[in-house]
Amino acid sequence: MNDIIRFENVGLRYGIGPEVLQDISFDLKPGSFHFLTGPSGAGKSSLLKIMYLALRPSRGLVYIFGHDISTLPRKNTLSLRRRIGVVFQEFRLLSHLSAFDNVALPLRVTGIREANVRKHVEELLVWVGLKDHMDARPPTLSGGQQQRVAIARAVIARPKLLFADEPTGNVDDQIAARIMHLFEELNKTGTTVVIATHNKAMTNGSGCPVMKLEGGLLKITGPMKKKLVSVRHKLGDDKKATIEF
Amino acid sequence: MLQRSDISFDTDDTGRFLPWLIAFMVFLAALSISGLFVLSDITRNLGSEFSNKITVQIPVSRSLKTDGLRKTETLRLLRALTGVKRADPLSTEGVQELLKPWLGDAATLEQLPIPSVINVEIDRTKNISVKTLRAVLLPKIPDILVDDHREWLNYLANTIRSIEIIAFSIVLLVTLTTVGTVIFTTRTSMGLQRETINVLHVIGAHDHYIANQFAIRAAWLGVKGGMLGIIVSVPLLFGFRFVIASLGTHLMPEISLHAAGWVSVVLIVPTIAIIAMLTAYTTVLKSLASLP
Ligand SMILES: Nc1ncnc2c1ncn2[C@@H]1O[C@H](COP(=O)(O)OP(=O)(O)O)[C@@H](O)[C@H]1O
Ligand SMILES: [Mg+2]
Repeated sequence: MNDIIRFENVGLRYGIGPEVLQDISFDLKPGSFHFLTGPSGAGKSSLLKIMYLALRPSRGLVYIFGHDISTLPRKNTLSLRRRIGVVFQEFRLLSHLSAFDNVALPLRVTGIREANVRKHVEELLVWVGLKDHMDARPPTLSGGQQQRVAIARAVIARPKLLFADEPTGNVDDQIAARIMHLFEELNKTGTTVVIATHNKAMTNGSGCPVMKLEGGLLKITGPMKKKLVSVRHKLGDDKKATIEF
Repeated sequence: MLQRSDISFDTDDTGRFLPWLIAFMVFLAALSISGLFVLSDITRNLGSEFSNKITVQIPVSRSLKTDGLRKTETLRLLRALTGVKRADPLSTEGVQELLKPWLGDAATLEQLPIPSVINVEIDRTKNISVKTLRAVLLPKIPDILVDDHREWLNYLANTIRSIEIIAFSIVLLVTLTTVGTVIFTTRTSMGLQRETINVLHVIGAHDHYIANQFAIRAAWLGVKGGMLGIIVSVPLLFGFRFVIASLGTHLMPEISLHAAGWVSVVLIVPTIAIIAMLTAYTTVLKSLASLP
């Protein structure tokens, strides 16, 4: 099994509530790029949480990097987490830490040497256009800037698997396009990407498979093979090849 | 705090409450522990000073002459016994000095009949005891009093032991209270920091990494509270010493806290900080185990 993620008849309920997810089965191949859509409350965030190991399903089998997470000892999930990057729905930046320290966090928790941390983090912050805001605390940054900090934090440790929960939710189309471009770039380096969104403009005709959640059920539409057409063009953004924010 | 923390404890009120509680705990522990040292000192002195000593008291009779004869006779009998190392009559002034706490200046009055007191030092290895002395002396001088302070010493030792048990209990209680409070405040704090903890967990922080941050903070709060407690206790201990010293040394054995005592009192601070640190650490680890 060379799937990065595999779900078999997964169900999820919160407490004694109804099943939010029912009989979800799918698999993600390495290097694929998927959108996850569905109306608000459909369970997109819940499905992502199961995939980034923040939530256990109520039933069914979940394999991540080939490991059955229901039988994997808790201490072994750590190495899986470290191969996963997450852009949370509300960013969830640590507000008392600078942009730099927020982005450095995934490296620091692995105990990497501070000199290496500095080099990588500075590089990435320059790359996402936050060169002049490294020492700023998130509350003093604009929504778009916070978003870029969140994305930088998600990708700093070069994850093999990247999840973004409505990463373009609160920004205008232009910034959304740039963010998408960043994810594409990352995908080209081999990272498997799943992006939850209800932005139709983004998913329609993107050429990427779309996982659609509705009434607790999952339907996958679009080409099953990875075929990336830059969503940049669909959104009518500029045609620059480099990332600029 | 010296180390940069990923968790923002500034907004966390437990940081204001814990040092005060720990200060109070350290204060109680300091009093109890110094008390223990003083008491064990007293017990040791009592043991070494009195265990080989027997006091023989010859009550006053009708005439001074008889008193003198009885004293000489007693001394002779005592000195003839094997096992008696020495037998020395206490001078009149010495006896007066002993009686002073009870009688005040009246003790020095000429007309007051003063009993003769003989201090006997024995060698316990020679199978000699109060009984032996009584057997020899009583037939000659029926109202003679032979006393090795055993009963009084036993009574005193028992009292001291009870006080020591109380002091130990206080130290134990202080430890348990500190552990309990640190568990409680750590849990509260974790509740306040849930969001940050979840983020750290998801991005791949080891449980130890998260627990460390709480542990370092608890240790720091422990040191802060501990210092406060010591700053209050040490002058108070000096004060006690002064007050007891000024009460006079007739009734009280000399009371002082030696180097070991002071060191122990000061060591309470790192000890309580370490207790707080380990408690916070294990509390966080336990609670993180419930995360997926
Ligand atoms: N922690 C939770 N406890 C109880 N119910 C929850 C919780 N999180 C989400 N839900 C419920 O699960 C359903 C799906 O939520 P969510 O996964 O956030 O959907 P989406 O991200 O698609 O908007 C919603 O009905 C929501 O109310
Ligand atoms: Mg959501």
